[in-house]
Amino acid sequence: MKTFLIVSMIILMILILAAMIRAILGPRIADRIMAINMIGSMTIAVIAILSFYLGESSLLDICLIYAAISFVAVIVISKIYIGIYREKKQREGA
Amino acid sequence: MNISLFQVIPAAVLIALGVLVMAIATFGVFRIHYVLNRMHASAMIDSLGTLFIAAGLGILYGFSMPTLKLLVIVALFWCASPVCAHILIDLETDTNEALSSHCEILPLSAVEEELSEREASEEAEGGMEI
Repeated sequence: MKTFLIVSMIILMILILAAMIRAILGPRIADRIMAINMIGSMTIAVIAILSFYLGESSLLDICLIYAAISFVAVIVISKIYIGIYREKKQREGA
Repeated sequence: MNISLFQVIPAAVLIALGVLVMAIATFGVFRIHYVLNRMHASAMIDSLGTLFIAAGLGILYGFSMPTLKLLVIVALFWCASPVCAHILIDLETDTNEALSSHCEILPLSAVEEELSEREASEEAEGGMEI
């Protein structure tokens, strides 16, 4: 079982690297934010598996906080970018 | 912690399915070309992938407090992920000036008209069959 958990964590790490490549390549800003959201979700899966692997169920609390923070981060970054874009448009129009 | 074989096999299958779903979603994100379509692939990670992995770990933990925490994580994900997707789509549609080159944009009245036309034609076809 331990080997299986290690292997699944390694596969998830490779997928996180792939998502990181998407975040670097992504032509539009929404691509990048989406890739960061994906990285967050997969990191939570890794932490959840690690919590069973190490027998430390308190790591699941970290998962919960990580999920909440990544959710807030996506919303804040998107809203700030929309605000900046509108301000720029207004300045160009004036 | 004592884990029987009856727990290990379904848990391993569920975790493997979760990892597989995440792999397919990551592959889809590279294969699909526009961000509004890509979001469909990336949403699979948030909903199905997390559910499978949490279910697998829940079977391993048994009926206990960590299982409840895993359930809370899944519930939080299922509430947060649609909100995230909605705001990301807002960002894309607000800031992309060349949106009409990627997809067809109709005013709401045109969509309603098309839907009512489709309904009428479907009703007419149904009447013919009876």
